[in-house]
Amino acid sequence: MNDFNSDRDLEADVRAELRRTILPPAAPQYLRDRVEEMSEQLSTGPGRPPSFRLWIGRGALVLRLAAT
Amino acid sequence: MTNETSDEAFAALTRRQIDSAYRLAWAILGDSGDADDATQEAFASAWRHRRSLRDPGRFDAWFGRILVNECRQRLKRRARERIRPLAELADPAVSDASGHISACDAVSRAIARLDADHRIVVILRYWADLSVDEIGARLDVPSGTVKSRLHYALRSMRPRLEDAR
Repeated sequence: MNDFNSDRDLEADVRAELRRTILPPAAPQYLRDRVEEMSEQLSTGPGRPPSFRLWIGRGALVLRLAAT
Repeated sequence: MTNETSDEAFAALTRRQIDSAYRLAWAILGDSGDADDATQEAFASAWRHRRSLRDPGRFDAWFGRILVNECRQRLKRRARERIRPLAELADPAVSDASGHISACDAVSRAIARLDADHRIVVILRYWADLSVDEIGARLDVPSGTVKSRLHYALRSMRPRLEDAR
């Protein structure tokens, strides 16, 4: 066992390990599409469309398919 | 400036943030499904409250606060519901083709055992590389509180990391 000599060593270790292990992917295309849809709906209409909440979340695709 | 022009500029600002927002949500939540939901909800909330953004130059900090708050609520909800305890967040199942958290990684496991507030400050400080003041602004807490949370988090992680050395 090799203790950290200082808080600075510990911080450096945590920083290096986080950067090595947490490697998030880029935002998926469907997320970009939904954010784009959201922008169009909310910026062009007078207010928030009643069905807006249905388009948010992981269930969105199912709801979308069910509605068509 | 008309509302239409303002909304157009706002839409451009949101588009620019999609990747960084999703990555941060993913880093905090450790799960792509939750990161999707948190990111979308943060953008929806940003649109609903867009009139409160006075200075477009401050969009990043303003939106960052909304996003981090959304992630924080989700972490707390998870812990409360005990459906997926925080201690399991970075454990073996989290893995996909484009990014992963290793099961045998001591830092990831130590962070996964932190509560929501401490986990978030660690990610913002050491992964996102924000300053203490920037983290305070994101969380709407004083810098002293951020320092205190960081100190506590590192102190509780230290034994696990030393054992792994």
